[in-house]
Amino acid sequence: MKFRKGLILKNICGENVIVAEGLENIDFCKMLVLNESAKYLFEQVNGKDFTAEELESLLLERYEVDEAIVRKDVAALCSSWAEAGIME
Amino acid sequence: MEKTCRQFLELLRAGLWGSVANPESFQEGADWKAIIRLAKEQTVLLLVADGYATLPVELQPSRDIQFKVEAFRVRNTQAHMLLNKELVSLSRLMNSNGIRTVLLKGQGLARNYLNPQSRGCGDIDMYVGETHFEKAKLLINECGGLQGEDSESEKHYHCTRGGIDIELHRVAELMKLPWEDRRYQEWTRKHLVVSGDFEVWNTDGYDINLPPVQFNVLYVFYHFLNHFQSSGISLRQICDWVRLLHTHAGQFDGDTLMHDLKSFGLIPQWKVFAQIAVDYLGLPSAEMPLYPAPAGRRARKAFDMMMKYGNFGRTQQASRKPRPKGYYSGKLYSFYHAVRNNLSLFAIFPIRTVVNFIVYTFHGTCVALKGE
Repeated sequence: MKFRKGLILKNICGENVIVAEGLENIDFCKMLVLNESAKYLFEQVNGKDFTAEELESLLLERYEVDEAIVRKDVAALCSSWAEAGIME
Repeated sequence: MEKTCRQFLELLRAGLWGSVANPESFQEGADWKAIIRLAKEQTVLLLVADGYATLPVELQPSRDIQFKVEAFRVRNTQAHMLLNKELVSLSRLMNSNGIRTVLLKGQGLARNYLNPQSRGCGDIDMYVGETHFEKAKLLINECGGLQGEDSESEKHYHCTRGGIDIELHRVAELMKLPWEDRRYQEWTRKHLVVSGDFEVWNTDGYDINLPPVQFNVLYVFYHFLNHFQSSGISLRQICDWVRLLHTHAGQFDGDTLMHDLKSFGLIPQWKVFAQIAVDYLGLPSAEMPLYPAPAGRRARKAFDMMMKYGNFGRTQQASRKPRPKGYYSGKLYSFYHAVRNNLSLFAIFPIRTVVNFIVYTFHGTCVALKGE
């Protein structure tokens, strides 16, 4: 998996928001709000290829959380990112 | 000055100069919808947004407003990229066919801003000159991709390509009286054709000619003055001018500028807008030629007109009844609004307004008699 090129993270009104810039994103006008953990993951893997397992490892290293919950949350997150159109 | 307007100016100045907006001005609350509406009418929304971003979070506008503004910022940023791409393509087309081009206003002025992408995006004004005008028109038409209708005036040829409005200029600007216009065209040719002493801006790997600074500080001023006197302007045009003066402070000759202003009869007008630039928009006074030169209430009247009319008069036009469809009733409608406009202008520039009105009425009558 990989995020599309030109995504940048901004702080708008205290919230973490992804917007897309660049000519390749000329038709992409969405803005995506991320919670803290999604923001963390985005910052770690933006610009690189990554897998769901890598995202799970990152979360397990950072937070004290049950593995099954992390797996479920990452799956949901990847699905929402794909639906939002921010994946290549 | 009314509170919303004061707050709007506070934020605009902060965005324009990269300073911090004074939080005390917002302690007693702000009508953010009104401020944002003003910012849109004056085409300075993102500068105002840059300004409110410097306020403590608790004094900033609501989440809803900020998200809408940021959505606009994304579209504006993309518009800048598209515009720059088209600009390079157009320049390349002209230059490779032996036509030297000079980019007037627009993206050339945007680069004087702290963040060029905070300037509202517009169109491409490309000076090609009288000699190459017909060839330039032919080239752009042969190139294809034009959308909608094109049009031509004494000043330029207008078309749309890739969603971007393009104006190929045969002349940079026109003056109302024939003898003034002859002098102005000679002055323009001296700077844009003969001298070749351009500023060069490299964008997307291509060199774009920009007008010499000595020409530009007066040209940008006269261009917005012309629009102010005919349809109305917004503060965006003044912001362009102050950023140009600030960025190029010390790079043009003040005496030569004074001589040029005098020869075109523009000293009283310059003084009015000089006062607005310094007192309202915060340009350092040392960077404004002819300041202080008190223009008194005239500067305030001019400022009020800009706030009322909006960008190219659109705010005021939106509040008017629509133009009647009939030929003569339509002409009368335009004449009526021209009279009203000139009555307001008379209080600011009495002599020039009378001259302009006579010229306007003369030309309008000739056109009406010909049935054009």
